[in-house]
Amino acid sequence: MSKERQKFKVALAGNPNCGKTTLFNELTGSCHQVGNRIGVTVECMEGMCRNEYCRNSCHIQIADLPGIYSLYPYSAEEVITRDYILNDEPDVILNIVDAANLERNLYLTLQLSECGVPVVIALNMIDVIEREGGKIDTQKLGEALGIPVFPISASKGIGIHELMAELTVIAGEKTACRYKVKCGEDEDTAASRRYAFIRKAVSECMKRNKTSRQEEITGKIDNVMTHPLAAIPLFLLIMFFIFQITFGAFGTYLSGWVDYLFNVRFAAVAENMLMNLGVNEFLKGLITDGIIAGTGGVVTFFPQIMLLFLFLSFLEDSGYMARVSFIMDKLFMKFGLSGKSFVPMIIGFGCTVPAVMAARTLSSEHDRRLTILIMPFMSCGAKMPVYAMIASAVFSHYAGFVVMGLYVLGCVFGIISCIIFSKTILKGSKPPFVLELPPYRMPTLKSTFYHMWEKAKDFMIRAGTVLFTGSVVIWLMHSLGMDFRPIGEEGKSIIMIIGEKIAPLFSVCGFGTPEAAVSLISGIAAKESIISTMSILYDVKDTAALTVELAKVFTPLSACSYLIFILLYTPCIAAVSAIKTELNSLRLTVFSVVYQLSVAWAVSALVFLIGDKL
Amino acid sequence: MMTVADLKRNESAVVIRVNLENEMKRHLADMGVVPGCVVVFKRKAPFGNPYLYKVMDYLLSIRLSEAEKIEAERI
Repeated sequence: MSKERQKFKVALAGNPNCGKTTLFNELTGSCHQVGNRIGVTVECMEGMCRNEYCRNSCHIQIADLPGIYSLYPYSAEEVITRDYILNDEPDVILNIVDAANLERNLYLTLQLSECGVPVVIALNMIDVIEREGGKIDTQKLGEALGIPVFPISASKGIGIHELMAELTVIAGEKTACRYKVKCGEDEDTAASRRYAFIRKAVSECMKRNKTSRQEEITGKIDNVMTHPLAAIPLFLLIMFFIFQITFGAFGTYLSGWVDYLFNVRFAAVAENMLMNLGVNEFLKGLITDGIIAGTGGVVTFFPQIMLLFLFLSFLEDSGYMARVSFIMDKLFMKFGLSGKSFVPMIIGFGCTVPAVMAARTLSSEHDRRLTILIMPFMSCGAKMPVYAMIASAVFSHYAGFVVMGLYVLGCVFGIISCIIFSKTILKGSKPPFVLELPPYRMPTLKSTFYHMWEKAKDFMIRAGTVLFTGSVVIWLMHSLGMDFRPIGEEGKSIIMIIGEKIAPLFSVCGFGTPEAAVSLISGIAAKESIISTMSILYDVKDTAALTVELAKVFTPLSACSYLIFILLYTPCIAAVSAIKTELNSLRLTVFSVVYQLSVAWAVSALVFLIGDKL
Repeated sequence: MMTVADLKRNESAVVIRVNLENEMKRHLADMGVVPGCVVVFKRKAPFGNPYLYKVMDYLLSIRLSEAEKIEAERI
């Protein structure tokens, strides 16, 4: 008997919000990774099916494709799904269908079956229907559609063995289904025909009550959450709660722990090890002061980023985020965007990297680019300690107002830039707003953590690579003189020389010192570095001493213009690299960087000059 | 000519014609808004726009500018 295992490629496709990812996780366990597609920004997860679900004689590779409503693609995600099915030659399409939303889900099913690849339907959440007294005759439905239907509950792990058993048979036989495409038909007629067919099939196979409990509950919650008066205050309350926990006492407590473990204990261990190995001073300095210290600031930020992502994933999975887009759409229309851009921007207040990635869900490329271009104006979480340090040093009691003012100013500039861009470089048609509001659901712990991890992972990888490199470069610039040799006691480092050269550029902004300029340069690697670089340059050992020093160096006005510069200038290289990846255009990325720098310089100069006159 | 924008809360209508350009028409068709389908008006967003409808078994939100181009008949 041949020992060779048969290999099958399965495309997992379905509408958004139908439990596709839950099924994918159930089938693949923890062994999955991001599939590589050249020249594309959106990823699809690929994984190998767990042994318990495959017959022993086969390898099943499953691709979790982004959720789509139809094969006609509007967003980057939908293009991925369509291209995979048409170009990657899967052996079978596993179409996951939400039983509570059967008719619309089946529209995609019919389109998938028109592709010529065998389709198998996994009818998910059938337990929800049955709980409410409904019933679906899956056998009859399968016959009507010409596609086998398997009832499952992805979250409870029911029915999956039967599904996979039949799937492998079908994939092996390559039986195409009976539903065929009609030639020479225009899209309108095709759509009506498909829906008429679906309506008939479903009415014969499904019995249910007029309204479901889920619908009633969703309606009641929406009465509150989208209430004309209560909607915005509730939203602000929820955001305040989230940011308070993440950036307030609890978050900083966790950060403090990571700070201690990484920057104190681990750093000490590393230092000892290097000393014992007799590594030369320069290399030791590179590792401890360059790499560890440079990445240390961002590493301590990790717990807070995770917390933020956890909350946001929970809100997304519960269905609330769609309501937020719904509420904000009218406002966003005024500056050329749609309500769908709001959620990525909220993420942007935590970290720009996952925020620009979240823009993938926007249905028009124009929208997506516009949203990404103004993302840097949403002050990321890393800037918070920088604002806090400088503001409290110079403004003491009023620090809170100053910081809040900065956030508001950031949003204002974001809006202005958005309006300018949408009228000039990114002129385009008004973005369409067609959004499904899913029923409110209680997210499971597993899925929330999974979504949190998805967001955090990219951030960490970028921190590990781009930030790592940046820290090394900045440290080298600190430690090497113009002759590219380590500087002695008296020597001037490359960065100081650069700092002295460009400092005069900032004198009109009110902070023409080399220290200020150098700190800004290091802020390009990571915003937290601004503070640590200042500590090094002013030769202070702790925050108290730094506070004193900052109060000496900055006047209230110059502190204002400096903070404004930090607010508006280029985000960190991790963010820039994410922006470049998502925009897929070097030209636009360069434009973004130059734009941010110019606006930062112009505005801080303006503020200083006007303030000086007053 | 009555459109889905004229419906009151929880009123149902059947769609007669979708008077939008191709791209938008197709987008809505993908979501189930085709001649012959039943929609129920649910609510407006707090600022008055967009509108929320129940289409088939789910909730769909579209802007007023699109809603007033979807001809329908009350049922």
